Amino acid sequence: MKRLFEEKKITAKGKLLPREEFLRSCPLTKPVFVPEKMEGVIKEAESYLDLDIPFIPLSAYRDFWVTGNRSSFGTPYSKRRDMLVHLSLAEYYEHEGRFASKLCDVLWAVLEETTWVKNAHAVHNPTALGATVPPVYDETTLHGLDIFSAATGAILTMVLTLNGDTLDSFSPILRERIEYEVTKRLIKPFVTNHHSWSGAYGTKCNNWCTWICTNMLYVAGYLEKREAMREAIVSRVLSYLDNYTTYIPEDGGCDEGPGYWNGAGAAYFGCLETIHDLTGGAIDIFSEPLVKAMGEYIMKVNVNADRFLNFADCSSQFYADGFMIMRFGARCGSEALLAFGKMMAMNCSTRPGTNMPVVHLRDLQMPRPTDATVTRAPRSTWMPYLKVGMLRESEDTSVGICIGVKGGHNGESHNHNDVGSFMIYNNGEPSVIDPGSVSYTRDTFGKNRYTIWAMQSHYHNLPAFGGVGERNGKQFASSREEYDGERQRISLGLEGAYESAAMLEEYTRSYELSDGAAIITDDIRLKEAREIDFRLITHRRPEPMEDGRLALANGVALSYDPRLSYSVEPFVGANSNPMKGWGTPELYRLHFTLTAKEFVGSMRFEKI
Amino acid sequence: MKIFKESGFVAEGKVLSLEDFRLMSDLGEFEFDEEKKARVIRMAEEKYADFELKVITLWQYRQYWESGVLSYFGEHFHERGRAMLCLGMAEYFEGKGRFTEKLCDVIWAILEESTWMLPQHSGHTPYGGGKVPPTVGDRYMHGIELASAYLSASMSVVWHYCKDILDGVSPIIRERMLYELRRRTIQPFISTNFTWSGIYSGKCNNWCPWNVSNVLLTTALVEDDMRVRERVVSKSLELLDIFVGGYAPDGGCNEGPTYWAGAAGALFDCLETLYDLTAGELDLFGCELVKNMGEYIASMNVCGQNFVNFADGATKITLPANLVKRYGEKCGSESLRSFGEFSDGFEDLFFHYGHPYRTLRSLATPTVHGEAAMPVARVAYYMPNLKVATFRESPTPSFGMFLAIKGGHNQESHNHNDVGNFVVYKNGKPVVIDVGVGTYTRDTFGPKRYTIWTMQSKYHNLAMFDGEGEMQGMKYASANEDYNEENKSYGLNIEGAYPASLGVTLYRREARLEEGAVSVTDTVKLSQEREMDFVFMSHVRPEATEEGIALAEGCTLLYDKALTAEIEEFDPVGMDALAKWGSEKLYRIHLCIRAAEGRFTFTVKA
Repeated sequence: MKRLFEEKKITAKGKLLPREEFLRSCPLTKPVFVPEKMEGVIKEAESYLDLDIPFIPLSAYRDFWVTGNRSSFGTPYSKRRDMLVHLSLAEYYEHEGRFASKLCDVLWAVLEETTWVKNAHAVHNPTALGATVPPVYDETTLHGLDIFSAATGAILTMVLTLNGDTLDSFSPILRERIEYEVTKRLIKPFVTNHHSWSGAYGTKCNNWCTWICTNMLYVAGYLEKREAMREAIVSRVLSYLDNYTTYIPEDGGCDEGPGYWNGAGAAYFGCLETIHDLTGGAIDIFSEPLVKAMGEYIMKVNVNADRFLNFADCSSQFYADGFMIMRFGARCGSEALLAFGKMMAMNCSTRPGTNMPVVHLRDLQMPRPTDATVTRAPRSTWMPYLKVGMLRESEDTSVGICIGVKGGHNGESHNHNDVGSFMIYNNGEPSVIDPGSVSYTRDTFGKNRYTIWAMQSHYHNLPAFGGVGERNGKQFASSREEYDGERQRISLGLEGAYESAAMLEEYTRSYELSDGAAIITDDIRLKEAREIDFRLITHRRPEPMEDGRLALANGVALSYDPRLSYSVEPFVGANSNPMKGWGTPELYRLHFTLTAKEFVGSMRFEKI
Repeated sequence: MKIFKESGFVAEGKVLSLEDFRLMSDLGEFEFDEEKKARVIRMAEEKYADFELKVITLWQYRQYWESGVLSYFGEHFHERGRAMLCLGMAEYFEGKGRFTEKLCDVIWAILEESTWMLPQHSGHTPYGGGKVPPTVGDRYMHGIELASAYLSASMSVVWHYCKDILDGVSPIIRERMLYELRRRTIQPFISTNFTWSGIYSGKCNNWCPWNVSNVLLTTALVEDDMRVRERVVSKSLELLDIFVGGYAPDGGCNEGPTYWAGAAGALFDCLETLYDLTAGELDLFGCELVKNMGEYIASMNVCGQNFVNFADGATKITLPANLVKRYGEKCGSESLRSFGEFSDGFEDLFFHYGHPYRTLRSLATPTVHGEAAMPVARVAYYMPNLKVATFRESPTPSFGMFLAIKGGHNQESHNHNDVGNFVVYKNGKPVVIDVGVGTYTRDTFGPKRYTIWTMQSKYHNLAMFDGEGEMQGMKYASANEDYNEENKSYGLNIEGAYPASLGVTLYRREARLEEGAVSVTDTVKLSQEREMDFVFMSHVRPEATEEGIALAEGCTLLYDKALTAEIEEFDPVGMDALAKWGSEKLYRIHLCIRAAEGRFTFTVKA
């Protein structure tokens, strides 16, 4: 566990460039965007010219408490920011005034919002806990600070920086109000309070910490004029980043999964980039092994192209931001990561999002690479701390069978009860899946999290014993982890992850890749006989084959132990979007059952 | 006359606290009228229950400067305020929670607005208006103008009546309402002197009592700081004295009858609220000037909803009738009281968004059903300060000929260049008209005012010479006014209203109401020969007949045949003439002669 800045005695004191010098030297001040990338931006901005700015009524804010619905507020909230980002970039790039009026309208609407903290995150407001109406409307009450209010402030900072002259043509009040609101809603709370997501109170940090710091650094650089305050913000960021890496294992693993990595490990890197700019390179820790490991993690959870091991709250199919990964690889001296980034950058979307404007300002200045090679990956990988790994048939990621495995514990950030679950791919496409994340509701991050189907081990590739599955909590964990990269075998002890009512004495599961077949072996000893139900989740209905095997998606056949009774249960999980990644509204839960006190048997997945 | 100062009343120690204050204390313990409650609930159901809130944009706000169109901003802005007041009172009356969510949504939307001031009035911000409202936290004090004041008053009514309803959703809602009411209205009222208050110039118009009435209501209903309550009251008295100080003893309103409700009417609202705030100690209903200011509206009534509409006057006015009636009762004027009682039949203004206090009064007052007695009108009346004379054939307004004629000068409030103009009605209906005014635009109150045709004497019942009419400015005035009550005649010299370059050495007009006719005799002397064009305005197409020219209501205009007649139809640009006059086009009768002098009599025969 490493507190990099503290251990290397790096502080911000006296290190920041004076503001004027920073503005002159930083490539974010007057970014030069790649024209091909701006076509889509301008097209989307044009579509917004005649779009009514969505209204956000108080009842939408309160919906989170009254009905549990998050999207009635979240959708118009996000739409406004999408509009703002696109209109800002388009107007900056074209600079003919076409988007100026609409830009100001959306800007003003956002400035008039009582709070920028999302309703679902109202718990981060320091005053009026439990208030279903934003309790901040006057000049002195401190605003809360969440990922979205910080992002909003950064977007406004971008508008201030890129469109300042356009705003001035309407009125100096626009600039003045941006500076006022961002100072009040971001800078003041950031330097006055330590928030729980910062790790300052000893709670484990996750993507919130790095994501917010990324935005605070950009705001410090481009909005905050007071030199002392700029330094204070950066100082605080350094200590928060140390809090974040305190929980990062040596293998650089991100327990939030590859989807959140963009806001986590990648955002850590994003912070380092801006800190480098702010200090004229005086603070530079890109070469630290831990930083490199945090970057290379993303490769280790990539199956092929846009398929990732989507354990926990993660989408299964997406291209990561290749441009940022290219910079990550280049700065940290990782050829492999740079190459991986290039492959991603050939294919990923270049549409600017609303979460971290500074990342897009850098990305839009990089042309798409044309010389990306096919990615190769080691045939066996295992992150010993994160306890996630992959066994591949071939070094060519688009060829052959691949098993994704996770151990670990059930107290991770964005945890699902999935210790011991696995995924099967063939030629880079899924055959046995992890359903991944579902739409967030009021219950997602509350005490009712594990009433949601997608969080339960019952909807992962794991057995239940007498209907009893795994339990949430850090103490419910795997043990006796064994990894043999040569032999391509992983083994985990799983009895510790289950509820005691499962009556497990001992349960060892091994995952092996042998002669092009993936073999999952379960060695179970119960305290008394129970119905054992091995579950598999698939996105295609298995077809029974003549030889008794089951044909799964992507040319994979499953042979299972003949003692087991097989049944298939189609289901559509609540709040899920199975079209994303699976292309189908329906998923399937396969059941393989028998009643026994002991069982040793295997499932075998191989190409048809 | 500083009627408040002269009363000797001093606010310190005499203002009731927030807890002790009772609005409409003269009603004692009362219930709101059941029929009106039902109407409010129905209005909420039909109009506002599904009211769609939309973002009000900076583009809409700056259209006042860019295209001059006020409705882009104003329409939705005002509709929110109406929705708030209606939904609030409906929920208060029904109490089933049907309107609560929408009410909260509307209130919160209003609270989030950067400014409550209309862009066309944004100059009243202490830091000056601009295309973007100067709102940056508390850095710039908010200004007070008509809309922000009546919005505040509506909000304070909802704050008061919907206490449990809103607190049941979240106490933060009313907390913020109070915060914004203080920040935007109560505190600026105390600490800033606005031009409309008259403090700097010593003169003010209806804006003053109208704003004061809404600030008083707001403070009375929500402010618990006693020092603030007292300061608001004492400043209100100071401002109202400036307002009343601009009135001659005859009580005539130089802004015209359309503005009476916002002027003397609002003064009356202030008197009632002040009475309530001081437990009756401040009671000026017995003041003679106050009474005359009230009676003005009765005297300017032609018949029913038709009023004499000189200047920026509407042809039809719907009065807050129960206010007029109470005004008559409390000030001891039977003519005013009976006029108010009769007018109640026309009032559908039970919901007064610009004067929320009147909404409450109206809701507390049952509608009078059935025929009220027609008021008894004066057959001759003159306001020597305003220089407006009115004559009737009969004390029954719906019967006989009516003549009103005005002198004065061309820098009155809401001035039109109309010194010497007159109007004729028969049986209460218009015959020879004052066209009134069109829709207000950016130019209406700016330096281009007199480019607007309705402001020009060429479109009034006056003469032009070589196509030139009267000039604006205080020195362009009438003289030698002669009012004869017995003869029902009024004479005045109006050559002074014309620019010197025209060389009008004499223009004497004598108007008289006779039996079944109105006669106007113009005696003109010019320094040289010019094309004299005597103009008469009509809303129906005039037809040349053997006798003369046929006008509305079967009347005929008789004139000296030395004059050649020409009837002109024209497009009343910027005016909804169809709504105002029942006709898309309006008409000018030109009676012309080329001469250096002459004496011409025009008779409108019934």
